[in-house]
Amino acid sequence: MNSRSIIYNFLVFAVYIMLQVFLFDNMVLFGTAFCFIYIGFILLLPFEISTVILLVLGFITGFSIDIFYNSLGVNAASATLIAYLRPFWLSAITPSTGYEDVRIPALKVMGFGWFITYALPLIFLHHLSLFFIEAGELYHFWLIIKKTFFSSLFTFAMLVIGQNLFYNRDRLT
Amino acid sequence: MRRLFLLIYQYRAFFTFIVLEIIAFWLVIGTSTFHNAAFFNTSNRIVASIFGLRQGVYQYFNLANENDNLAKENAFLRDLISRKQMAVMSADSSMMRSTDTTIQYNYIPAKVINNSTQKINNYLTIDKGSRDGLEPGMGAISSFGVVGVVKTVSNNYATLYSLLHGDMQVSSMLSRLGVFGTTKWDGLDPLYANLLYVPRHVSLQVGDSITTSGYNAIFPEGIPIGQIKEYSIEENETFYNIVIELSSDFQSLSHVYLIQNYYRQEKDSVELLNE
Repeated sequence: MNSRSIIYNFLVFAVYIMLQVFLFDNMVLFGTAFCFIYIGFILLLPFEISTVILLVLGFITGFSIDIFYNSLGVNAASATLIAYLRPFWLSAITPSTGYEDVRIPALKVMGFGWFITYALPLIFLHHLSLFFIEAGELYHFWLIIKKTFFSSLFTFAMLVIGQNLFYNRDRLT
Repeated sequence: MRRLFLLIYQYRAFFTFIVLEIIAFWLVIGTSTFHNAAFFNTSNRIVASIFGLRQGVYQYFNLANENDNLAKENAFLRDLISRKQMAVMSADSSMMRSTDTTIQYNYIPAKVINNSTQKINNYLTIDKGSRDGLEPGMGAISSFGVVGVVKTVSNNYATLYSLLHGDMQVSSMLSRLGVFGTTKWDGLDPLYANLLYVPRHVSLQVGDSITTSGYNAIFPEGIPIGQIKEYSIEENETFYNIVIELSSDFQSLSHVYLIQNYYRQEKDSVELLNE
C-alpha cells in the first residue's frame, strides 16, 4: 500500500462513519430493520491486505461507531469478528477463475451471485453477534433473530445500492 | 522460547483476534460500571459538536411540532398558576406559612442533540454540561414527563440514560391510589413501558395516571410518567402486569429540563445515616 491509497482508504473510512452516524443512525424500518452500512468498509477492503491490519481496522471501525452510539465495545467486537472471518470465507468461496485480476471483492467486478454468497453470511453474523452482545441476555431471543434477519437484508440492499452509485470500476481492479 | 515466538508469529492473526475481542468485551462490561469514563461517548466535545451540527439542520424540519408542544406547555403552566393563586387566596395564614418553603428545585433547559429510541439501551445527548451546573445523576424531564437521568458530563455536553434504557428504573406512584411501583422499559416499543411491583389488592383502572413518587432525590414528586394502558394478573402472582403508555414522546424529543435538587446532598446524607 502506498501513501496515496492509505489516504484514499482513510477518506473512504470517514465517509462510511459519517454515513452511519448522520444518515442511518435513526433510519430504522418498522422498528426492526437497522442498517449498519459501516461494515461495507471492512467487506470492501482489498484482497491483499494482511489479516492483522484487517483485524485492527475492523476494531477501529467498530470502536468509532461505538463512540457515537454510546455502546462501547459492542460494535468493536462484532466488526472484529467479521474482519477475522473474512479471509477464511474469501478462500472458501474462491471462484474457479480465482481472484487474479481483481483488487477488491466488490459487486461490480465479482458479479451479483458471488457477492451475495460473500457478503450476506458475514453481514448476518455481524448483526447476530451485535444484537446479542447489545442485549447481553437471551431474554429477547426471537426478537433478536427477527431483527437480525431484516437488518441483514436492509444492510445488504444499502451496500448494493451504494456500490452501484459510488464505486467506479477503475479502482476495483 | 524461539519455538514459542514462532508459534505466536504463525498464528498471529488468531492471537490478534483474541486480544481485540478481549478488549472489546472488557469495554462492553466496563461501560456499565465505569460511569465516569466520559471520554469515549457522546458527551465527548468533538462527537457532541458533530451531533450539534446535525441537529442544527434537523431542527428546522421539526419547528411546527415544537411550537405546538411549547404552546401546550404554556397553557398547562398558566393553568397551574391560576390554580395556585386560587389556593393562596382561599388558604388561611397558617397554611400559607407551612407551604412557604425555600426553592428546592431548579430547572435547567437544554436542547437534545442526539436521541435514539430503537435500541435496547437508548441514550440522549444534550448541549449543556458541567459548566451549566450539570452533574451525573440529575433527572431530566420534558414538557410532558420523565425523560432520563444524566450519565456523564463534559464541559459543554452531557449524555443521558433515556427512560428507554434496560437499566433505568424510576420510582413511581399511582396518583389516584397513592400506591407505589417501579417503572421499567422492556426494550420493545418506545411508546410503552411496564409498571412493576403493584400488589394484587389494589383495584386498578385503565387510564390511571402514573407519576414520580419523590422517594429519591432525582425527580420531584408528581412529574407525569404515563397512563395505564392495560393490566392483568395471573392466578398465583403477587403483582400485576401493567403496561403504561409513556407521556413523553421520545421519538420527537427536542428540549428537556434538567432538575437540580438543592437538597439532594442533604437528603442522601440523612439516608446514609440510617444504614
